[in-house]
Amino acid sequence: MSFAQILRGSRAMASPKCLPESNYSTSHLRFPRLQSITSKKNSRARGDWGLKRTLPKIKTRYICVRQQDSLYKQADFQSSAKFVRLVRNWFDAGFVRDPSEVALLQELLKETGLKDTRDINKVFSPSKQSDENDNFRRYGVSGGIQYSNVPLINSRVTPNCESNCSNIRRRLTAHIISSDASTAYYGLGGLILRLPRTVVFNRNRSSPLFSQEQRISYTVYKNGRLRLVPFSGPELETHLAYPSEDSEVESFFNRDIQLVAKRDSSLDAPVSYQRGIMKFFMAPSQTSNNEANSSEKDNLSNS
Amino acid sequence: MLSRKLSPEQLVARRLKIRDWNHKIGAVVAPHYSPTLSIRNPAPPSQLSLPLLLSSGAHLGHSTSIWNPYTQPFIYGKREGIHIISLDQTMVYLRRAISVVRSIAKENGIILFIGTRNGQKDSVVAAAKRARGYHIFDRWLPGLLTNAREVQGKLGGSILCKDNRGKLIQTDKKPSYVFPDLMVILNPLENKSACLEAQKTHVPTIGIIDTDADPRMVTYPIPANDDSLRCTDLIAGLLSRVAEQEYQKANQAFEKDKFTLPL
Repeated sequence: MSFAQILRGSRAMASPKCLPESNYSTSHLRFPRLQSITSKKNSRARGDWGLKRTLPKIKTRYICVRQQDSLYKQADFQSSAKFVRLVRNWFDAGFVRDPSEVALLQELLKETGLKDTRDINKVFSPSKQSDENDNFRRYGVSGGIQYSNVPLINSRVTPNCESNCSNIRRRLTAHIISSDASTAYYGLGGLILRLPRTVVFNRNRSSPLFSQEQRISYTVYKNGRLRLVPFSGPELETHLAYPSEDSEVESFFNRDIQLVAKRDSSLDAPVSYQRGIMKFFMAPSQTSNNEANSSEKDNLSNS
Repeated sequence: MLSRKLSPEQLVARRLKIRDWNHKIGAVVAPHYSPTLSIRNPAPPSQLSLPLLLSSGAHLGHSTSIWNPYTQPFIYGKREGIHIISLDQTMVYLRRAISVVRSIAKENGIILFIGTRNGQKDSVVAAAKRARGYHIFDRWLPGLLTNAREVQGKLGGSILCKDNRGKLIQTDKKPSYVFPDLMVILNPLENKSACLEAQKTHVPTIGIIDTDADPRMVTYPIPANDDSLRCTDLIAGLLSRVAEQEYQKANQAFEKDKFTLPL
């Protein structure tokens, strides 16, 4: 092979270009602009990250390199562990299927002789619909695993800054509705991430509320279907509650959310608001009415 | 109840028996990548290839703002603010350096390896030991070649000889000054004085020339990345392996001649 072909297929040349600058001065704190790089432990000890020069001994495991070499013969890099950790947490929480897990599943399919990944899903949930989105994981197991997702999200995704003087109080709290009809079947009725009100000091200092991953609430129904609805309440309509950047509007996540919301809009589910907490009920019937009344009482007692 | 004491023969037999039991326990670990593998067991010149050089990062040059125009024939292009060295040129110059090392090792010449960066000590010492030469990893002493009478005179000792009674006595003779037949410099830009002294004393040099260095400093330049430990380990190991092969070939020839000598 020639040098051009080998160079074009190498990993160093295949790194993606950085995203363009956004209008907000602090948007780079929430969205990664460069590719994150990691290395083996023994190579990291020597400072070998596969770059132009060796880097000093640093404690972080993931870095992103702005500039490999400069006029002063130094590499410009910084830590990008928070983005990698956030993505890993969402994979572990089960909202999005891990691409490496999907690749392993494909290999298993080739070995077992099955034709599609849905054949494996049919074993756990025979009442699967064909129009469901495959990008989201479906729950086919009992509540033990689902319960463990809640402290995972609440403990890791929550940022460390909790001061009252900041522009945005980024405290996230999770409320568990334990009296839903599907609790008896799956153990976890629904998980709603309560979003506090944004404090705006000045119109020039406003910034996007949260990233797209944090505006989701979901409910698991009795038949195993997962309902995802973008959070929209009366408190957040005037504070950019919807995606405002082009890269966010066209992202696959937002398109999937809208697809799910469009499909779920056919259900006649009543929605009620109580102090920013949104609840979903199943189709009205006699037994569900009784459960709804009991759930309302429990929520009042909780609040 | 007292425990029974075993004789030494019985202890050895028990140990061998236990070893036979435990010999089949465990798994065989497949060979895996280690960053020091190229230092302990470098690649022979027959395995030299473009993907090997690319994986070691030899094609990454310096920033385009600190570019030496004399390295323009070696540059393939630029990307992300740095120059990309053409590995086709690197391959040509590296093979020429290999042939130079081979011819010098065939004549039992002295090869000196110089590498003064952090992390290059292990590869330089291992390369010098493999090539039966010498190494410098701390600092090039100025005047080691051009002022050898003063500098090397203080470094060396004196020749000893035995008296009539068998006692060791120092003589007035001193050892002759040692001049290497070839110098391999891994970072010539930082060892500029070594390159100049080698030029003045007519010692040939092999150096790794990056895009910010002058290729006229050394006799046989190798256009490659001199800031990456992976690349310098590869080149130092490669040249030392060539010298080792030549020495082994000479030993084999001597072994053949051994049986044809008349009794």
